[in-house]
Amino acid sequence: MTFGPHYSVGPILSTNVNASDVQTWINQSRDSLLFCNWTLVGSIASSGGTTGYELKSFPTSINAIRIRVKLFWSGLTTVLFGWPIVQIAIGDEDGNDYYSGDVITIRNDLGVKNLRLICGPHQFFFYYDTTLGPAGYASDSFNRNTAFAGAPYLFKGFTPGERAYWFQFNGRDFRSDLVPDNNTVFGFKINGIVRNGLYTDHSIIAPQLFSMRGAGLLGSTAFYDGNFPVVSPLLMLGLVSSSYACSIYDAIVVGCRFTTKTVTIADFHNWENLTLGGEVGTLFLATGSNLKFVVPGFAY
Amino acid sequence: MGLALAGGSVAVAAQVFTSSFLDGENYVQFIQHNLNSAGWNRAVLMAGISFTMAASILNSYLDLDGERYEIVDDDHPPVHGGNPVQNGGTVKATLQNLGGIVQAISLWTYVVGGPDGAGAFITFTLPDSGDIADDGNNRFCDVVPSGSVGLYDYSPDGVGTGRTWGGGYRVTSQIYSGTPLVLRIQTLNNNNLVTVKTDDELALFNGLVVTNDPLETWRIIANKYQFALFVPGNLSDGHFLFASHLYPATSFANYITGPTIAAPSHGKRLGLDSIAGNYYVSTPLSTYVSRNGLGTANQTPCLVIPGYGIGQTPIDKLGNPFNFDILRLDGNAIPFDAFIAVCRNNPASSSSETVRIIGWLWDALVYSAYKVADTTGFIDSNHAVCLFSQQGTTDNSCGSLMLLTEH
Repeated sequence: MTFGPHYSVGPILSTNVNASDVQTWINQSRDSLLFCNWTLVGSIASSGGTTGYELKSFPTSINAIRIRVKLFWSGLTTVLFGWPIVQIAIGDEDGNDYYSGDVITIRNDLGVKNLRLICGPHQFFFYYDTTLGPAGYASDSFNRNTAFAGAPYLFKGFTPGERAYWFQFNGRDFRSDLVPDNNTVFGFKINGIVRNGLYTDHSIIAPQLFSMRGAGLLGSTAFYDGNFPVVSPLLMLGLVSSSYACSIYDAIVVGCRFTTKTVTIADFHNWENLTLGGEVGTLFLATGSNLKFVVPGFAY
Repeated sequence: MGLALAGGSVAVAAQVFTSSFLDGENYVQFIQHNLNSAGWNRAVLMAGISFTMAASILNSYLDLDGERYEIVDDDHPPVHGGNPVQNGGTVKATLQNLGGIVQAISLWTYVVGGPDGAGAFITFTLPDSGDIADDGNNRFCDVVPSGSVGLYDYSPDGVGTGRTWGGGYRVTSQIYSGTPLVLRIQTLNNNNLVTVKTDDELALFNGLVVTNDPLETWRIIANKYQFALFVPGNLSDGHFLFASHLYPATSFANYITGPTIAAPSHGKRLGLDSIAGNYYVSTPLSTYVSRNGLGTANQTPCLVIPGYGIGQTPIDKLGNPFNFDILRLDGNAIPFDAFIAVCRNNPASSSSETVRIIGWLWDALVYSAYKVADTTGFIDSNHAVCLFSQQGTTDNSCGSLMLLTEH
């Protein structure tokens, strides 16, 4: 590929977090981000006697971008069953332009619910891995399981003060496809443009990734031997009238469909597919590196 | 992978030359000379002459480059002072008789038949002896009686009088893997056209238009595996040919696209599908010639670049494909591998396969933004030129193919 992948300096954490109890989920999520060199800003109000937290990501190597995240429970519950739905809010480094999403359903009625969490110093990905069981927690109208957010890689020189972030919540996201549809909850801040909400205004470019395909075709295109090209994720943000190409850290896009959980090793990294059943491409996340750097302060 | 540089450890810089032409002979020389400079091997293809009628008319004669050959038999000895060529009773037999005479005088070797005719054609060849000034390896030729002896004469010197045609060169690319690309570059019996064809004669690209216009300047950008031939500022029919022994995806692949006389529109530089006019594909699996429009839409050769794919509900997508420039925050485009994808079998046949990536274009990248064709830019700080591009449409992505002019 002609650019990327864009690796963070780590550490990358691939783990499970307990989503059967609000405070447990908040605490384990907080600790996971702290492990990846996020900074604790402070505790925040959270419903039901729980404590929420606000954290700030580690500065990106290009543009020193940081994002803020709030993990808390507003008291929202699902209809009929009353299961808590916890919130994640994303803002910029200064705490501006926050958007709060109702993202994770907390349940334990079928047994302990666990979510996968792959996170690094600049981003995180919560999602439900059916191999963890129980199957009844798979995403549906009652089960909210996905929340992705991060500081984008911007392809430009060092300009401190840049403010940018991206996120997707609640399904119809990179877990299911590289491109959004009307059911995708999205948000971004890029070059002063802030947009968020349900993706219904198509003059906006909600976060989406490109896959390799023929210039005149609609489908992805394989190599002669049937394998598909691997590209660095090309994350598009902005407006149709003012769009910007960025990228995602510690990730690659493979130009074909994976319908089952797939792990592989390439480029001295371990990889796992986030996208499951995507029509024309699959986002793979690095779950760890085989390279052993000895850098004080970093464990990669 | 990224940029496939043709130079490598034995760096042969991209060769960029420009020239205008008065005739096809001059044009052939331009192509072969510059390919040879870029690292292609060459052999000389000498005059091609049709003897279709001469063979059946006794005492007709041919003045070929200063030597006269006269068709004779026992009852018709030479009456025009020519070297006797025995009429063998058939066209082919007469041609065979010509061989010894021609060889004795000019040391030309020859092949009866091909490349353009059936049995009534003779092609002379010589090993590479360097450039031959401006005649494209054609020779002065005069046939009597004129007008009926079947001589194909490119020049309007008079009926049956002028030069032979079909002279040119066999050029062979360097080998990266597998089989090299071997082409014949020859004049046609028309002073405005040349023929580029594969040596196996499977693919014929005879639609390049050489006008007698000194203001129309041709450019060739060549390395030891590939070349692009075009007229800066002219994107129209008959003015673009691209041939490459590609950087292979998994095994060797040769690819050519360009115009024919019948379909000059397939040799133009308008849009990213300029790479898919009339085209020739050679891989270990198959070798075939086809043209854009044969087969289904997803069987047309194409560049492969990142773009929107279809989603679960395409109508809800922002736009499919992405039909505007993809720019970084600093305003620059993003470079992509110059993959080319084609069908592994001829889509004009029963194959229903979609295109697959067979390799990379050498010294090239696809930029994610529209640039006007022929404008210059940079790849890794080296000069490059936009060969062709498009702004993006409802059924095709935007992009620009940038080709290095130095490295």
